Formats: sequence, C-alpha cells, structure tokens
Amino acid sequence: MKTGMQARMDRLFNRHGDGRAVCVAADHGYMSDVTPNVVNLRPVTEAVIRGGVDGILLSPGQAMRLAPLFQGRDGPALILRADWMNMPRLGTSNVANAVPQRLLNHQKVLTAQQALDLGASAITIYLFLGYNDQMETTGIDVCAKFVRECHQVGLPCIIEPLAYGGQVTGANVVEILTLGARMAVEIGADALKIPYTGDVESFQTLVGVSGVPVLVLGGARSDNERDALELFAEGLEAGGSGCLMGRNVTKSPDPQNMVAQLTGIAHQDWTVDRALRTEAWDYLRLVANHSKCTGCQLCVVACVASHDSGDFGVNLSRLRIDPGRKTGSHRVMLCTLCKKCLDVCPTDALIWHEQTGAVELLVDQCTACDECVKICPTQVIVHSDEGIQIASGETLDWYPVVCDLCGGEPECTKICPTEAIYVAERKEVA
Amino acid sequence: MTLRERAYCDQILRVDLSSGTTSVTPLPAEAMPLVLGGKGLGAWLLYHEGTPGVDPLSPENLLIFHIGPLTGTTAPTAGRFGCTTISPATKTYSDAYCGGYWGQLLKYAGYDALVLNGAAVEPTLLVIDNEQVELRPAGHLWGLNITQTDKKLKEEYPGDWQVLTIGPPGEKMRSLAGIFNESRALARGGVGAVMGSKNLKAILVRGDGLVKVHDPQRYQRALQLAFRAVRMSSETTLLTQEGTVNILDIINVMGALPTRNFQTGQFDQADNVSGYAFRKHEWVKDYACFGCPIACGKYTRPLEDGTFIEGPEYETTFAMGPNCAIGEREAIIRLNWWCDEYGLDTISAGGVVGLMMEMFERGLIKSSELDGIQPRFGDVGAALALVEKMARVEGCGEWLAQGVASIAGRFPEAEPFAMHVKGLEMPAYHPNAAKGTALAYAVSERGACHLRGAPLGELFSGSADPLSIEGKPQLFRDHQADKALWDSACLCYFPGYGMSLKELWQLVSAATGFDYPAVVDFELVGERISTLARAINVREGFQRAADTLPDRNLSQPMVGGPADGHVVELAPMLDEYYRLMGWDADGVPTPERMQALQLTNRG
Repeated sequence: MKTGMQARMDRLFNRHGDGRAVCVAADHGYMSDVTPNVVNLRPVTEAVIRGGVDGILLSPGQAMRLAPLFQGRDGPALILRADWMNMPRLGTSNVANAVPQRLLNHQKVLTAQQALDLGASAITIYLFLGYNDQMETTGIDVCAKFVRECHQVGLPCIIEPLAYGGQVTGANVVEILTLGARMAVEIGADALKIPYTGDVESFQTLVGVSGVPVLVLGGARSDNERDALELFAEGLEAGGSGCLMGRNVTKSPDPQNMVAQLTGIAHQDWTVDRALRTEAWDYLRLVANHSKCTGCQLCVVACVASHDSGDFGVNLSRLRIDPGRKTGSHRVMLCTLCKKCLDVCPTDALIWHEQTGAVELLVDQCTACDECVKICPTQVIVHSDEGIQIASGETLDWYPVVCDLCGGEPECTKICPTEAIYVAERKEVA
Repeated sequence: MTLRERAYCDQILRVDLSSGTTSVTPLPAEAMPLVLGGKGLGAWLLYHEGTPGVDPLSPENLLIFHIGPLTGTTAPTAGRFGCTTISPATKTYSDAYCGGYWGQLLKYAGYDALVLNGAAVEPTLLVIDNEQVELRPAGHLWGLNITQTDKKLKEEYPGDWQVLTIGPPGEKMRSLAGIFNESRALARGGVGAVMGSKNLKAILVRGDGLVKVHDPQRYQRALQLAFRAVRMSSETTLLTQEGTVNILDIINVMGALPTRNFQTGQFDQADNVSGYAFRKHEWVKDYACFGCPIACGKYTRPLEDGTFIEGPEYETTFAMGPNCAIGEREAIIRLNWWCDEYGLDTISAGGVVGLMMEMFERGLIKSSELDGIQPRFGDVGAALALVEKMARVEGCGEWLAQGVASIAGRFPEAEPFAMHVKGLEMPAYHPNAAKGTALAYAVSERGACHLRGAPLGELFSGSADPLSIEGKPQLFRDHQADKALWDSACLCYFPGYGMSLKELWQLVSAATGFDYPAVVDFELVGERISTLARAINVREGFQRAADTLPDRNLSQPMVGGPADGHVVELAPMLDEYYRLMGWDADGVPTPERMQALQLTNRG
C-alpha cells in the first residue's frame, strides 16, 4: 500500500479518532439538474464546514472553484465524483433535461492522478446492479480500472453500489445491495457508499460482509428532519462508519445545524432526541393551521392508537377533523388549552398539570355533570365509552376524556404530514 | 389466537337483496394467511362461492366489497377498499379499488368484507350502522346523480356516515358505470352496473369499533419505517406537488402518451395539460384520502359558472385531453365534472369519445346516428355533448355508455382501432411505446389495465428499455405479485413509490402475525392471488386467445416519436410469461402449479 493511502483514509475517517465520518454529497448539478439547493454551492459548502463536516463530495469542476475551503490541517476531506451516469436524467423531476434515453450509460470522467492533483482524499464511483447484464459488465470494468489507478497513487476508492432497474424488486433489493457491497469490496473498494437497507438487522449483515468502512447515503429529502437523523443513527448502530448524505443536508433550511446534529450523533454519541433537543422541553401548546390540513385523519387514528387499549380506530379521539369535503376547507378541532372547562367544573376535578401543561382529570372528584363537555369550544371533550367506579364507591356512567398532550410528544403532531398540527410553544426546563 | 387479534374483524357481512335478509359469517380462517384480504379475499370468495358462467347483470352475480388487514390503522393510505365481481364489460373476473373515506368505516363497523347477491324489487338503500344492518327503500334517490344522492343522504343521516353510490349510468346498467364515494370511485369494469342490477342505489356505513394488531410494538416500528420511506422519496413529493398528472410530460417525451385514439404517442399541446400547468393555473388545494400522507388529489378553482372538481388525474387528463386531441384544461375539467357527477369511468368515457371522433372523421358513423353531434378531434363542444349523453344515458348515450367493445360490435369496421382488451378501454400508456406495459394490458385479469403489475417504470424511471421485449415477462411477473399484495393489504400503490415490498411485508407481518419468514415468501402470496384471479377467468372461458391487443398495437406501426415504426411483438412475451407463471401454452395454470400454490381446482 502506498504511504499516502492511510493518511488519506485517516483524513476522512479519523478526524475525531473514532473511525466515523459525516460527509455531505453536493455533486447533484453534475449527475442531474441543478436543484435549487446547489445553485450556489459556495454558501452551502461553507455552512456545512461550519457545522463540522468531515468530508464533502463534489464534482471535479466545483472542486477547482472551491479548493480554498478544503485547505489546512482541519479542513474537511475532499471526495471527488469520478464517473458520470445518465440515469438521473431520466427522472421525472427534471423533465426539461430528459432525453428519450433508452439505455443507461456509465462513463469514467476523471483519472486518479487528476483527483490527487485536485487535493482529493478519496474518489467515488457507482456500481449499478439490477438493470441488465451489459450494464453490470461495464460497471465492474469501470470500477476495477479505477481501483487499480487509485491504488497506484495511494488514493482511497469509495464504490457506491446501487440496486437500480427492472430486475430489482421489493423482495430482492436487500439481497442485491448486500451482494453488491461484497462485490465492490472484492473488486478492491476501500470504503462503500450505499443506501440504507431500511432496518438495523439487514444493514448489520451488509456491514458485516463488507469488512470496510460503510457510509450510508440519504436519498431524497424528507420534510421531517428526524427521518434523516434516525436513519443515520441506525446506520451507526448497525456498525456503519457514517454517512455521505446529500439532499437531506443541502436542502435543509439550516444545513449547518443539520451537520452539527449529525456530527453530535456520530462523534459524541448523542441520541436523536438529544440532537433535536426535544428531551429538555417542559410544556407545550398545540396549534392548528387549518389551511394546511388535507383531511386525511391520520392524527385522529394516531390519537386513538396511542391511548386506552392501543388499538386503531376513531372512537374516543381527543381531537377531530371537521371535514370540508368538496371544498377542502377542513377544520382541525383540538384542545387549545383555553381552560374554560376548568372554570366551569364545580368540583375542581379538572386541573391544569404544571409538568405536562395539559388538562388532567382527577376522576375521583368527577360527578359526570357534563359542564366541561358543554362548554368546550372545539367540542373535543367526549364521553368515555364505559363507566368507572371512583374512590367514593360511587359509579359514574361515563367520565370526560381530555387531551393529555401525550406527555410532551403529541402523536398528532408527529404523524401529521403537512404540519397542519404543530407544537407552537415549548418552554425549556431551566 | 383469533383473527380478531390479527387485525381482522373475522366477519363477512352477507346481504341477499332478493330476500332482504342479512347474515354474518366468519372469515375462512385457514385461507387468510394464503390470500391475506382485499383482492385475495375477494378472489377467494368469488372462486369458491360464485356461479361459473354467471350473467354479470343477473341476481346470481356476487358483488363483493373488501378491505384488508391494514385497513383502519395508521398505515399510509389505510382507508382504501375494493370490490370484486364478474364484469358486465368484460365478462371476466374484475376488481376495482377506491380511496376516499368509506373503507375504514366498514372495518370500524366490524366487517372485512360485504358480499351482495340477489336483486331487490324496488330501489334500495343499504344502511350499515355497526352491527345493525338494514335495507331501506330508496325510490326517492333513484335518478339522482352522485352529489345529489350524497347531499340528500347526508341530510337524512347526519353524523359520521359515508356514502357509496351509483348515478344514472349505474341504475341503467351501463358498462361505463362506476361506484362513487364523493369524488373517488371504484371506476373500472362496470361495477356500478352490477350494483344497479341489484337495484341498490347506495350503501351507507358508520362504525366506531377498533382494529387490534397482533404485535403493537413491532407494528409501530414498521409504521415508523414505512412513513420514513414515503417521506424520503422524490416520487411521492412530485405526487404531492403536481398530482398524478406530474408524469404526463415524461410520458409524452417517451412517445407513449396516447393521442387521437392511439393514432400516435405524442401530443403537441402537452404543455397545456401538464401537472405543472394544472398546478400553476387551476389547482387551489390538496386533497388526501383517508390516512394518506401524500395528498395527490387536487381541488380546482371554480370556473365562471362555479363548476369545480377534485382532479383531474393523469388518466382522466389523457382520456379527455390528448386522446381526443383536446388541449384546453377547462374542457378537461368540465368533461371530468360530468363523469364524477353522474358516475362514469373517465378512462372509458374518454376512450368512447376518441373512438367516435376517429369513426366520424373516417366516415364510419353519421351525425344522424349521434343525435346530430359531429365529433372531430379537438372539438370540445362535441366531446361535452357526447359525455353528457352518456352521463344522462339519453339518446346515443344509451349505447355509447356500453363502451368501446360494444360499439365495435355494432360497427365492425371500427374493430382495428377499437382500443380495448377483453372489453375494457385502454389506459394512458401507448403499448407500442412500452412493451412491458403492452404485455400487462394483454394479460391483466380485468382487461386493459395499467394497475395490475404493468412495469410503468420502463417509461418514467428508466428501469428498462421500453421498446425492447427482453426481460419484460419477468418484470411484469414480479410487479404483478407486488401489486396483488398492495391490493390485498389493502393500500394504495402510491406509498410504494417510497416503500418497497419489504416495508409492506414488515407491516403485514406485525399486524397479522402470519409467518412469512422472508419477503420472497410474502411475494408468493401475491403470485397465488394473481393465479387465483386467472383461474376464475379460465373458468369463465378466457385463455390465451383472449390475451391479445387491438390491431392498432399488433400490426399498425406507431407513427412519430421515439417509438416510430414499432408494433407490439406479443406472442414471444406471452410464451415466456406463461412459462414463468407455471401456466401451460394456453395460459391455463397447470394442476402442479395450482397445487404448489395451495390452490384447488374448481370447475
């Protein structure tokens, strides 16, 4: 092995001495159309560097322009995309560029020596599996040539196996990726960039058969930032060495913070909750944005499933959607913490809970007088299905069911796909 | 462990409309791990209880509504439901699915399926209020359209009811009639006509029961993975942004957008009717079906006279737009409105209008035969007039609403360009420009269908060369098994643009506790269900000879676009596909394959 090889691997994977790396992919203008996130690459690159990124994947041309950002001992590692693939140009997201291309094309566009001259710590190339035999033959050929070239000059070669094409099904995709990982290593890959297989168990197997550092890629961006962080944390749990994540970081409203969260998880063993700083919240308030509601009622069923028996349904939900069918003007009816129910309760059976910030029923003091149900402006206090025997020995025919804000992480806000229900205020514990 | 602790209700509601009696039976317990629910359950019941050779519009034909084990939970799109019957349009096995807000209520009311047989003497309404089931007179609703019926019933039944209804074409048993839940429909195969033949105007349902999954903790984890997969998909994001029409421009670029009754595959006004154009000019709000995180549905802004719709979908846009050479969005919205209000299948209705335009231009039909209408390609007024005739089932609409195959029966000269398979009008992908999809059209159990495993990725995600037949039978086989499982689970296909079969397998395994050790074992369930549907068709007399395409696809080369000069080389694909499925050269599942799939041969 050339001496430079270990130094470059360390620059990528050992900046924190833990063998882990948080890398950002920003080669999209090269592979597909110029998505808005990479129109102006410099500020994004600067932001992720401020966030503490360990490596950045760029095209050769962008690397020339942004080279100064990578200089110095503490600068991030530069990874170069060394091949070109026309697959993304077939996608529906960039019809303007789509040529009626019928066959995939895979081209080597950079030599290892050129990459070294640009200051790269590693290069990345694809290995496509599942399209057809010819494509796989070309892929293996291109990868093998690269590995040979890279190793002649001491440059780590990261192979990116992707399961893509008609032979890929939901039943075999994990197997193809696992075999692809091993194939890449047999060809001579020094590290892998690969899609997450969806669960820890199967990814553990993949990492196990690889035997080289494995970086998970992120795929399309989720509006829910927890998704990318969870996926990343699971990858690490399965034995992965970090990530090479693109759109989930570069399309984030705050790429710097996103990288800081990822590096916290990678290098400081943060949990996802710690990264999102949700464990420190004390009480909160729910707010509805009616115009964003699509009427899907996931919140209603999630509410029912997280209370009582844990079964799924709509009965005894603590919130309600009043459908504006035919017009789409739905109304989200939820507890607004107006506390009118507290005011009318003759026996102080309803209290405002200081810790959770929710209204709570002290059922032993309840007389089932119905005042709270009648006063509730959003009509979300409902009668329980069954009666209950209370401390006095008396049996109530029903008791009021009130929103408990799920103890701090309301299920309705977690499942709402459009942020039509969201947590508007949280008070942080001192 | 009972099925009730495996996410089922373990109850089939049976209504005999002839005698007016209702009863409840348990699910076939031993069959459930084999066929899962939804499509699988519908096929199972039709196979074992249906009368072979039944007249589709006779009282003996069964109309089976079904949902799946995931229905009513928080799985993405878990409000979807379907129905299975023998179709009056095709005389084959036929299943149709629908989003909206009706399906989960059937589950909460306590039923996995609703089996209708017989026929009522008078117009009838079926009211399902949890365990209380009643048939009531519906004379006052007969003749009303979808919105009118819905409105009237919502007044009579205030509260959390949902309505499933047919319009005049269904009442008059036309092959183009669908069954509607507000703006969503079980559209294809004339299922509305079967409901009409039973004199059943509407089905109201309300339920407040609960669904108990087998392993709640594992199910919650599977849900988390499923939702994450849906969110982390650029395809589902596109569906949210530009609805199903988002694919129109790529299909046009690929030369596979059927235009002028499939005379070509590219439309010169495609930019006017793209997802981008609708988003920019017409849509004002997203619509989601029950439990859907994607919300691909769209409400349009009202036109000057107040007309507005939820839509149009890609298929409707193709059928009313390019297929009739109509490039005005407003016209498409109006044509869609007539179909939704009166209860017609938009794909089939557009297919009929396109055929009329070509026949009239070729001089094969006179305006006197069309109540004075002179349909020419691009003529919005004529298209509206024809669709209105079909919607009201008046004049020429009486026979037009029987569909393309029936029209070709009256005018045999039109047969070479009558775009249907087995009597079902062709959807929005030109077979000559998409060979895997062509195979799916020819073979699909309900006739020309893009939803039963057509490998559409060959067109919009480059998963294979669309103009080559190589590997297509395998591709179709895999997709068919996959889609049969989504239909049986029973979820919409669109979460599947983020999720794969693996995530569905995780959900179903946790919810039911059925032992499918690996995803391939689960995939086998899909193949079994497809084979079962095939077995029903074989019983009804459909074999290889029926697995064909119109002359326009088989021997008229495509004109223009990337597929210029192409025809569909069907025979070799059929041979290969039958072999992969373990069917004989006539397309009949072999006894060995049936046995291997744990299916029994039944007359």
